Amino acid sequence: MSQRPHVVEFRDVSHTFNRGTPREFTAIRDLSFHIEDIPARGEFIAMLGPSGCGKSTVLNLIAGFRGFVPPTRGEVLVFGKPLTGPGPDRGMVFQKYSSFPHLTVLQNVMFGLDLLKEPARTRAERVDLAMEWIRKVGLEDHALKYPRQLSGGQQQRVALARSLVLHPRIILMDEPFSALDEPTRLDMQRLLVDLWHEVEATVFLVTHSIAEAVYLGDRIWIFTPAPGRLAVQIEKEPPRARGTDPLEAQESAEFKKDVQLVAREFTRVTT
Amino acid sequence: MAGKVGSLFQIRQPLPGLVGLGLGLIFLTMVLGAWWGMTRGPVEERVISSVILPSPQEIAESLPDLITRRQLFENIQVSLIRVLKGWGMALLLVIPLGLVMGAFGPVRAFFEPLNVIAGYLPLITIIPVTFAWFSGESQKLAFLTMACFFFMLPLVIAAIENVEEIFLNTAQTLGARRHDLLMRVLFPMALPEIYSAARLAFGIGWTWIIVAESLLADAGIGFIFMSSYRFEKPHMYWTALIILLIGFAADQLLGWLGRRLFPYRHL
Repeated sequence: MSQRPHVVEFRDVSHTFNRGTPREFTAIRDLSFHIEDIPARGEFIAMLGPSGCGKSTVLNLIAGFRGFVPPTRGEVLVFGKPLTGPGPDRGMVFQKYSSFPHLTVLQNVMFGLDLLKEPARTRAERVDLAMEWIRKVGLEDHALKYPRQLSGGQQQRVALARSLVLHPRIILMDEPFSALDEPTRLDMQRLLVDLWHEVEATVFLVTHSIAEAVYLGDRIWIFTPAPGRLAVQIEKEPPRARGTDPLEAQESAEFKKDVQLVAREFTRVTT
Repeated sequence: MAGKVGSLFQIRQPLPGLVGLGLGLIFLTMVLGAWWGMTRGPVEERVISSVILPSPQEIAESLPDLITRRQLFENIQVSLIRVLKGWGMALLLVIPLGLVMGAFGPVRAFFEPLNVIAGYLPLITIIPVTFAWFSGESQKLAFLTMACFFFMLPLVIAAIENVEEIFLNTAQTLGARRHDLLMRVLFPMALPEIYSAARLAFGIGWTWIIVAESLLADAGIGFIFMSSYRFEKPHMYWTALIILLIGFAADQLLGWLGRRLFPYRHL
């Protein structure tokens, strides 16, 4: 048994919105899990479930946003400590484009670097580092553009670079690719896998796409309709881990079988 | 041709720029033509008496007198400086206050009475109040500051409140603390809307200085305007036109400046 604190641990967590009003709504109930900290290797957790089952609530609880600290009941621990609020150790990519409209791509990626006290970097070093990540996400020709001038896929690349440049230990992704068309979506999956090898963070990915969950997830979690409970956990080596391209993976019989298995479980849990 | 004209009347059909400009000019020409027609000829034969409405020519000829004897440019300057001072003072007060009111519940609650005044008190009621409290130049400054301040306060608060939560959340996952959220997210993101409010406020200030100067002043374009009413009707029309043109020009200038200050809004 390792002595390292768990990356994330939920202890009997329930979360209810608008308590004591007619709009009271329990998003998740009695959720318990923990993710072990395996040195130099992050895990990819793909979360599936019907709309409104509390998947996003799980992400928001880990992020520690306003209205989610503390949870209504139970405890959320990150690296063994109860949360007090959001922080740069937990990066987040939203479905909605969230690049700052008044900043260029470069300024967006530098936003977090400029706020960091440690390590102390000069402005030139920060620009270099930001440019390095802008190159990694393939936006080097767009560094001086504003978000409005970018496509949806490009905006999500900015969001990835802006978050990953800070080397977060945990990356929270709330349907990050669901507004994108299919080819762009596969591109983003390739990019995400590539970049993820560099940061080795633990990723929590909420998705509506079973194929995406099967391709990316070391674990696939399926939630019940609200109040959400974790009903099924499937652990499988994903095609991503073998270095298979997402488009190629989709062609294999094994992948199709896995998608069917997850789809069956999904239907069983949610009906 | 008929089909072409008909297609311009489709609902929300955009107009070619020159057509739009031309239509406006046609309207203006018609109004000027009607005016000219009704005030032409010897004074006793006119449709409308020159005491009621002077002819375009009589108005044009009154300009040199307006400029020299009545010191038009000096008076325009007096009014513009009054507005700039009052407007500037209001900006210095309302932007920081609106920022903290939009961001912090307790500050908002504490100053909420100001917001109620801003929403429901007719600006004209401020004029006699400032007459009672101030005199001379400071009365003008106080009135304009209050007019612009109360006009802008709800707009600045709304601009701050309209910044979507997702940007605050994102900034926090990138390490932003409360001060950063205020100065790096809320303020810069609300700034274009605050600027638009300031632009409108300048127009409000320009309108109300005319009212204030008409009521009580010994200088300023509003003073010339009102004092021409009895004996120098042509000057009254001139000043009305000049007031309008200055308001229009200032608004265009601020609009142009805004497009350069916030290029990302117009991409």
